[in-house]
Amino acid sequence: MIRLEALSLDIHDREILRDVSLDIAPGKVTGLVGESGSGKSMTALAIMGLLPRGSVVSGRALLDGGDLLATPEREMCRLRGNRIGMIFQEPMTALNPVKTIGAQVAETLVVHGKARRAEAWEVARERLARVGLPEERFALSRYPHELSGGQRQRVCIAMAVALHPELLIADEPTTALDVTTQAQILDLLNGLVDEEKMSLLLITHDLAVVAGTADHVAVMQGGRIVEQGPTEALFRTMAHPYTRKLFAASSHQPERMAQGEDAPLLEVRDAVREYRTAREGLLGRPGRFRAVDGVSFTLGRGESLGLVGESGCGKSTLTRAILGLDTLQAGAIRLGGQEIHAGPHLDPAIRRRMQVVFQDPYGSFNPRWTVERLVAEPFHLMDARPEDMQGRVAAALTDVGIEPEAMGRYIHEFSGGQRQRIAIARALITNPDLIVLDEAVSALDVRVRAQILDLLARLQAEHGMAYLFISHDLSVVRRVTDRVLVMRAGRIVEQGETDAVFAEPAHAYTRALIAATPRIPADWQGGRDA
Amino acid sequence: MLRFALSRALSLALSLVVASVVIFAVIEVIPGDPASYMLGMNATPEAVAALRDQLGLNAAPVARYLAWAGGMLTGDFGTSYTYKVPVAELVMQRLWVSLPLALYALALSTLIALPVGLIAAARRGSATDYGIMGATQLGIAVPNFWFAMLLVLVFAVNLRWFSAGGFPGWAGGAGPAVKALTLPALALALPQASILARVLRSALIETLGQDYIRTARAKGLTRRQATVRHALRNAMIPVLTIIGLQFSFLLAGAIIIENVFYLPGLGRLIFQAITQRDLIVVESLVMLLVFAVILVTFLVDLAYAGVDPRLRKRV
Repeated sequence: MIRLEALSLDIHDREILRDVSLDIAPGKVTGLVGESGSGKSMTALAIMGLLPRGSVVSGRALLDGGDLLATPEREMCRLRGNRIGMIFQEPMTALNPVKTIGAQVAETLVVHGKARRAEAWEVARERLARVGLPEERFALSRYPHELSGGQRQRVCIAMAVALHPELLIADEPTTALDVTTQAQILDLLNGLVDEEKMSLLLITHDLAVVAGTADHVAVMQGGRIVEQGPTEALFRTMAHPYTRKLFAASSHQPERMAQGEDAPLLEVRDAVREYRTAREGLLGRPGRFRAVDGVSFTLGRGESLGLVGESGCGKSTLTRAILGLDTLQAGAIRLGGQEIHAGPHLDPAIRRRMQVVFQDPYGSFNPRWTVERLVAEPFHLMDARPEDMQGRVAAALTDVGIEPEAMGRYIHEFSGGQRQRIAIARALITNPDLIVLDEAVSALDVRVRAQILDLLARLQAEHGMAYLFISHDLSVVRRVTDRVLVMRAGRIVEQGETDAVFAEPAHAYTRALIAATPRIPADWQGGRDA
Repeated sequence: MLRFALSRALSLALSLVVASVVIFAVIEVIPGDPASYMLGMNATPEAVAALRDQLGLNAAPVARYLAWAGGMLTGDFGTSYTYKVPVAELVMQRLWVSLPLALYALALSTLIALPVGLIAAARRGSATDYGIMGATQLGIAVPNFWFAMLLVLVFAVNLRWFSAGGFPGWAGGAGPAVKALTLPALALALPQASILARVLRSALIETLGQDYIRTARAKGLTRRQATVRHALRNAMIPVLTIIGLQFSFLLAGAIIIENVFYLPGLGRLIFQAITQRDLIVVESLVMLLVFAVILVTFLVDLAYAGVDPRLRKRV
């Protein structure tokens, strides 16, 4: 279908791709795996002819014998969306917020002159139904903000396959989605490949996703394909050391011991948080939405407690309440016996005993502050700033593996993994009893994630603080927590020892979550110790 | 959408009530006698007493406020002290100059700014872009009265295409009136168009970097199609904000241009009323302008909701 021959790319004299050669076979799924910055997305954009300014490409990208890299822009516009469709990682922002979903799908047909308006809407209706958004339930006049992330990704897929392209490029299509949604979207993509004899180039950082989906896999590192072959054979042999490293990191088990004491540190009792929703109709009463619905649990000193659940289950609301950022309507939260009251009445003495690390290592720092000031910020919770403040910042940075000389630098000078280390240093600085890790490793590449998980395990062993580990990623929670809570629709549906819950999930929802988690078949892992 | 419009209309009405109370309080209730202020330092006590009587200043403030506000609701703005004609009549005459002038200037500025901003954003970093940025910088920096005089010199004195000033009224048909307003509208529009073009450019550049533009390109839209079909409407929010602010300014802030072109507009009326200490006219005009600003804000709010469906549900 498409053959890449020695594709190389430089952007502003920076080497991005080198000698990438890859065959994308018709009617098959080709997986492209690698960490961020490995050149996966740039390979896709080169095929699409949508490279950023300043790009210099060489090599060839052949489609039916014609070189896409030499095709003029006008021709490329005719190919895009018509013969090659593409979907992207972030469904929340991939759709135009001011146009209806029907109009956006129909547009694919209209711009290619394949249909008049009315026919285009007819096709849009049919394609949206095919991707699981039937008109009875999802009117074509809906706007993107009225749909969930998974539903928006379905709209993107409908848009990309509206003209039955021969190749669909899916760039991390499920990375931003929950596990059960991810499984559904992967099913949908596989179904389309089978039905329409379409090729799929599936770009992902997740080995388990390609293991379950792709026929052929290529592994990229630093702009080169280091290994490629039929999926099963590649996983069984793992000839290249980088593939083995990637694999090892994705199932990395930090060395840690159960540390929990019986003394309760955090107690949540019958917590309820409701939000008002929009009124129905002109004079209707505002609705109520219970984000947290009678949640109770206890977290022991030094314990690692996992909280898993899908987006919208109330994890974040609960976290905000625990951190004293949001008030509860009923119930109580106590830290070390002291009740947490949100708002201005929150005692700084309580506040400094708990710290938080958020998901986004890019958005959670003030870009105009030095690292020293960022890490020292929690000191404002103290009655007086300690005199050896700089020394303590240096110690915290050393603790997380950042050299203390970095204090004078700004956050943009650090990589995602380093930023997350700095965020952990900021959380450590007040010697808290509890650190809330809110999807703290979800945005990281597998190898960096493995390092951060090791770091967290070491810090816990040294300082004995408790972790509340919030994540949608079950495989990570399984490896780093002592106990786990499964949350759904504002309630805790199951809780218990992590191993026991994963081995024998009692609740149907937990079973569904575990079943939806992609995994590499156990008998493929022969190459692991090679 | 209807609920959104109603809630905005309610806040419009409330703002008007609050504004009228504030204006009334500042001019009439706060210490300092309006009558002696209007008559000046040399007025005799008898004259002041007579004027106080005539202005109804001896009644209780609440009663006076109600009479004043109630009068405005029925179109009775009182009688000008200096011109001896009903304020409503005076304002209406001037409004027939200022309102068309403001709309004309606004239309010109939008018509100039839209293509200019679009081209600059689409060719970001090119010589065209730098040229446009330089020209708009100049457009903002040049005082509009100087530009107005330049227009008069070129088009009225030398080319004799337009008259140098004055306004023939609407009685003689729309043609001559529009012609008389063309140069002043152009003089007013230039700096506004420069600002608007720059706002549109930066809003568009931001929008063009969004993920959905990449999606649109992946669907096969050309760069231009993606810009016009997807980016432009999303870039409209800041542009609408600026247009709203500009209209409010154009309605009453055109005094210098009105002077350059001898136009009997609202700006000059306000200026005259203030110099002649005609508080009745000042009070009514200020209220009218406040009403105009609040009304424009209301319309801009509706336009936001028209542009962005996400805003329709928020109240």
